[in-house]
Amino acid sequence: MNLAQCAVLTLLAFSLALTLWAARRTRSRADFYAASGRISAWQNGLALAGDYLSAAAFLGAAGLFMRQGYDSLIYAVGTLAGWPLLLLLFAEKLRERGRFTLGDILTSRFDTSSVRALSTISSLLIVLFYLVVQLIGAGKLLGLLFGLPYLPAVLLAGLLAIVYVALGGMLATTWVQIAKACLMLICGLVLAAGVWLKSGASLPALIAHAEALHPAGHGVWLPSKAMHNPWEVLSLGLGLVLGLLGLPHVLMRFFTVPDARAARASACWATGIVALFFTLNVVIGIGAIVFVSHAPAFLDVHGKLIGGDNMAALHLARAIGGTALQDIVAAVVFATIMAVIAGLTVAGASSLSHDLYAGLLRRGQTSEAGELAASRWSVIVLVLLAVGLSTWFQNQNIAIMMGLAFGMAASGPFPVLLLTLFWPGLTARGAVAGGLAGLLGATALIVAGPAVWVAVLGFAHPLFPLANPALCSVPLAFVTAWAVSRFTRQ
Amino acid sequence: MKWLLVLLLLPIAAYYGVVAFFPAWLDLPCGPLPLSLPLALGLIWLGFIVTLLYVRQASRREGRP
Repeated sequence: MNLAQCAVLTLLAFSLALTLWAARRTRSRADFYAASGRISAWQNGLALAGDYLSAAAFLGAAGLFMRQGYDSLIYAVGTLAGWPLLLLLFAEKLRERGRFTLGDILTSRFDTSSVRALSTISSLLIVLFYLVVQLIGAGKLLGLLFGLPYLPAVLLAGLLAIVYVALGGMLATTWVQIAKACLMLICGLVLAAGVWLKSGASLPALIAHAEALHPAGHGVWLPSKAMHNPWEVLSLGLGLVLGLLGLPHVLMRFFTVPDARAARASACWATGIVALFFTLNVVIGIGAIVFVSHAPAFLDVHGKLIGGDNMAALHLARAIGGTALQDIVAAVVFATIMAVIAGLTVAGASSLSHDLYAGLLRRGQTSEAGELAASRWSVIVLVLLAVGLSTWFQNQNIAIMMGLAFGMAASGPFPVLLLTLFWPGLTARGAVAGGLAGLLGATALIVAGPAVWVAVLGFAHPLFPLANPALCSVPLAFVTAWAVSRFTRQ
Repeated sequence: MKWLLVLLLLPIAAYYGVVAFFPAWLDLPCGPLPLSLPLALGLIWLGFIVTLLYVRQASRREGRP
């Protein structure tokens, strides 16, 4: 057994011990959905950061910096800006008005089944797309580390998620995410420090070296050709900033703290941690250009990076600390993916059991024990569905699915939540129409755009020119909600 | 809260505007670095400063230290 396998098994044993500890404290639906609001501000801050910083933020950002240089920072600026906006607009109100799910917030104002149905559909769709992407990553990484075929590997990842969430609920998920966030930060610090020391602790030397090695030369510090369409840049920025504010698994975390003050502090903690990680990512990305992109040990016969650009951070770990560090970083990446899967699963299962089963099907006439049992069954159903979809989509471009999840989050739940909390003129029909317009609009524009219409379906020209739909789909949701509210107001 | 929203969103909007329409401006020198790098890192940490200011303001509003 190699070091990577030992490290993965150690992390799994640790997370299962955490789950068993949490399972003894998960007895009611409030425990299951929101850890009974017992999570402190700093714990929730770490868990929020853990929920948000997926493997894409680590492996993807380093790979993007190595290939497209400054573009990686354009993504980071938009992504980070969503956090203070989340604090300013939603954090306290979510804690004050919500109980378990996004649907609770919306139905606290519009107690209609159509509004709860909209919340259920949008939460489930976003969680499912996001979950499928994470499961594909987990299945492929497990396959790589243990030599397993895809299906057993992804089933194993799904089984782990079921154990974490069905037994330990939100408490286990929170602590798995706290552990993962700490490990990821330590990994980031070690890699950044390694790059810094290996370059002679000189920033100008590191920058000059990167410029000399990158194909774009000095252009590595400027937007690449991929950002040549200004409307694409604006749409990307809008989607990145607002996408966070519609992600159900992130919003749900504000129900786990005791009061609005803790909700504020936890958002502040999360923003600081994410900002620190993005800063470290810049050093890691520059290190990938300098120590990985031209090193023959990491290139195949065609001069391409072995395993693709997303492996840049893992190769960098090997360049800095040998195979031992590479194995440990690989294990942390696996822990990262599993923690995000657990967070998504608890959010999706809550929507299934609390909104769909208890709220819509049983009209609130269900016992505490009945809903708790339903939530555990929901975990199993959701994970099996996601495993099935991940098997189907395993060879598709997962970046499209991530884009779809973010586009839907920015265009569906975000406008409805914002208008519900801040605009007295919104009606129930306006909320439903706006949410549906945003969700369907974002989906249609992504399918008609270059990422699907040209790259997947093979047509010569896209029907919609932008790969990111937010610039059109977000205003569409707001205008529809406003117009329908105006015509349905009594 | 409104001034914090402006403090956050105005620079972010201006940044994406520059990236979209005037990317050459990012090449201006800023000490030994091109402006693009400190600008992006500054905006990332501006987000954190805004959250700190809001938490402080809200604590004062509630009369807590």
